[in-house]
Amino acid sequence: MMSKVIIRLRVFLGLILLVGAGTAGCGSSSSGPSDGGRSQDSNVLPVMIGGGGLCAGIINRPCVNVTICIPGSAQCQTVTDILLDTGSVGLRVFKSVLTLDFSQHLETNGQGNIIGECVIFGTGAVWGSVANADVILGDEPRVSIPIHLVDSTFAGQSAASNPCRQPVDATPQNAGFNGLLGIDGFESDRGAGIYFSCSTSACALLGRPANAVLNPVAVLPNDNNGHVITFPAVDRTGAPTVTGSLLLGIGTRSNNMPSGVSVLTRDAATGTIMTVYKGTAFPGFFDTGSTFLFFSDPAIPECANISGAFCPSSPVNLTATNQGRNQASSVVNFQIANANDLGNSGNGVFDNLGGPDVNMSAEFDWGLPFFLGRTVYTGMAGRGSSLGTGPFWAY
Amino acid sequence: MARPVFPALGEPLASIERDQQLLQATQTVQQQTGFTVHILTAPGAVVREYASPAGVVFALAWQHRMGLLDLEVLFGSYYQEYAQAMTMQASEARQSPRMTTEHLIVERRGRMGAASGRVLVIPLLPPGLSQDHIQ
Repeated sequence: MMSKVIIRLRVFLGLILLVGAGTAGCGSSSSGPSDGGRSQDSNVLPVMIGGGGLCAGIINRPCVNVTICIPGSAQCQTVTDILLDTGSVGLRVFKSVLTLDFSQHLETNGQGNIIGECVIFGTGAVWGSVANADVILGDEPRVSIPIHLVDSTFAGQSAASNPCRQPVDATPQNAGFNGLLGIDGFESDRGAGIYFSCSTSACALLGRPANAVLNPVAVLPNDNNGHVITFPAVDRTGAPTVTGSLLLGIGTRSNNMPSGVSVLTRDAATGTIMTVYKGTAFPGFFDTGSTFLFFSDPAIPECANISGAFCPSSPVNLTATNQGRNQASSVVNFQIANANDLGNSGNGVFDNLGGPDVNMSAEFDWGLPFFLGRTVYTGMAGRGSSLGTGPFWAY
Repeated sequence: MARPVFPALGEPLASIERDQQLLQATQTVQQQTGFTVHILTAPGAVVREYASPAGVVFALAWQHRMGLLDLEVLFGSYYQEYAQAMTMQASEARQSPRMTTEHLIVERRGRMGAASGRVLVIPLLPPGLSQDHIQ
């Protein structure tokens, strides 16, 4: 996940979607039939950018609704404003937005201590307990997995002082979302989550527990080999809102059949491809949680008054070449426009916003702008599909 | 075996030998014009400490993939200023890649499992240097 730079000038409508407290159709705790009794589109989640609620306050922030249930029960809650993040793995929800009580379903280390987790993202970190929950994506069968209950005060900690050893998000308002649906193409976070064994007032570092947080897509009964994210294109001046789709599975149904795409396989260790820009090769990745395209180019001036954004005097048209481990390559044409001008338009979705990389990381971050006007396939590591075995990206 | 020296932001090099159990680093030193860079390489992280000729750490840059990176220790006496800014600001400003506080410019980037950042103490910046030197 990365984040935004421009403060939205958009006026909020009076209607703000609050965290849904309604009960979803989850009376049955069985895993249910596959396609037989379900709609053909049960693998689809609408993705809103700029629609309303917390996420609308941030440019280029794509969000979905996710239904969470007490394991095996009909007690369910649909949570809005969940950031769709291809840059992380795991479902993470602020405990404060839940009306459900997970206190009897917290994961423990087997000796009575509750498991805590710290996850460090690009611009911040989250802290909280790990709970077993039933999760419903779209109209898929519910799956039972460990999720992260984000709570800066868990185990007597605080936003400023906690086992992350850095500031963590204290509230959904602070974070700009109610939670994160991390669905990068791996079953687990591959060691990026840091786990602790906690009493009510103290925590000790723990190795990776057996009940670590998992990618909810990877545990679906059928549509578990990856996903498809598709958004309509927007004008160069942006759009107020955009609705796209997350389709679970690749080639598992008629609505997620790929055709005519370039498949770029990813490095299994780093998760990256190679992006060649102006003669330099960078590790590249596709991240819906990054609001801009982030890359290094000293030739593009930064904005004087907006932090970390590009402000060329007129839009610049650029080219980069993405190359997979399989040597397949794909040329991408893109534009970077003046972030000040775009921000003043009042729109909330742009395909031509960029900003400089912080130098030490030297990566090419294909953020949300890349996904606009495209259909992007993310193949789950070790799972087969008509596009081959993951991890890969294809578009 | 070189014992890792782990200076904190704004503190003198010589006074600090913080034993980082979390960052079991090896250290190399680069002499640059007008400052010294102490590069601490640890499993999962690289931290660069920028020290003035007077031996005061005026900036840090880090790259972090795995495990904990103790910003509370690294930021030293400036940590509370940073933590307060992070927890008090609205999401727009809070999530900007660059944050300016009374004494600090902090920049952070990346994603889960691959984060990087840098911090500069504005009043401690040696004459003639800018944030472009912190890389």
